[in-house]
Amino acid sequence: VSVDPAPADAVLWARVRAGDEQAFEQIFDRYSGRIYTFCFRSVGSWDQAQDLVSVVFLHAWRRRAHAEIVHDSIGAWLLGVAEHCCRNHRRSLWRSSRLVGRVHEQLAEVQHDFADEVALKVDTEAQMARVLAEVSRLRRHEQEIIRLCLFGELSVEDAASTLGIAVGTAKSRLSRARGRLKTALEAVEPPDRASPAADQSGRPSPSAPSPSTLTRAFRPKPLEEP
Amino acid sequence: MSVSFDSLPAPRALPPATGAAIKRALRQEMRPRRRPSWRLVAGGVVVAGLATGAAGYLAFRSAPLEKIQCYSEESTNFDRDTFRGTTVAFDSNRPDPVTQCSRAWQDGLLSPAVLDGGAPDPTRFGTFPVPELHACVLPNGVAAVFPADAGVCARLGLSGYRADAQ
Repeated sequence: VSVDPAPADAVLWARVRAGDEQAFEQIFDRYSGRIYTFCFRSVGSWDQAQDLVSVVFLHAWRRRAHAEIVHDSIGAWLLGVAEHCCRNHRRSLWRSSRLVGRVHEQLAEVQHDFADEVALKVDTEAQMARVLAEVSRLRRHEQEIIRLCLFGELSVEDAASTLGIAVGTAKSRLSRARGRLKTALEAVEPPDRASPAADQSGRPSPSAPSPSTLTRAFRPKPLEEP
Repeated sequence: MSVSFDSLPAPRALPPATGAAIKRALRQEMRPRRRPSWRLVAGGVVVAGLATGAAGYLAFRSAPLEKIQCYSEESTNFDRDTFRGTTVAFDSNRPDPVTQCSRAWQDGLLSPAVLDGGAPDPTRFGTFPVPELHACVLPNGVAAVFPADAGVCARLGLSGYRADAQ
């Protein structure tokens, strides 16, 4: 019995460009988890990350003609859209948007926060808040490399390409940033209880989505109505 | 739960119910609006505007605003892409631009560190001071809120924002 392989991103996105909503939903199913995690790590709240996922994909739909497929993946471009939405607009733009309101209305009827789920959210949000607080104290170029390599799980090489810097420079920045961040976080709490989600190189854990390239070509414009 | 550089919270999948709700909401946003009826409405507005002159101008000024430019300083740079500040969506439920920009100030989104590319600190949302704010209307009809006294609109050659315009 032969099973049709899942269509490649390039194939799906060609249909998306033509306005195919079902193809876009397949892309959503494929990448929403990665975008959700990235947004959470950027803003420190699962609820806000959920709202941002909807905003990211709406923006991606509106900018679909400008998307770039890199190494047969649309993931890097979507991550760029997510970075843009999380970094430059934060909650003030999307909190009151019509789209987010619609999502909340629909979720109000079906969503239940079970105790375990609530506890997990509280724990991880507290954990992330401390990381974000320390990251915000780093220099700007160190924050950039941390966001790309740690939050977005890009390789150092891809991060260097994204930032338009040499790989060696990216490695040294990451090393310095990692050292400063580690020192700061260990001052808050010893690392002996840590449960690593990423290794020392800043690469993702086996359970994390595979990294891809965020190209320098991605230069998102501000969110705007079509 | 311990926090260290090497222990970020693990990746999570979007809950299925959430994903389904987002997809339903996206479908509604993705579909083109019914342009023929909009054309009729717009045509009526244009005809009425031409016929009534100044009244037409006021009608334009009263058109719903979709964005608000929250400035971090008094400025004559009205370009939405390069002005120093942040843009927020116009909330028709809370039509006062000053109130909406106040939230951006409270969250630190207009602090120099964030405007220079730094990440806002989620633990400090709602804690930043809010200066005196006043709303004007930019030449393109978009509301703009400046951290300045009530004379700012006149100084910048702008008209003041009228709440009853919404």
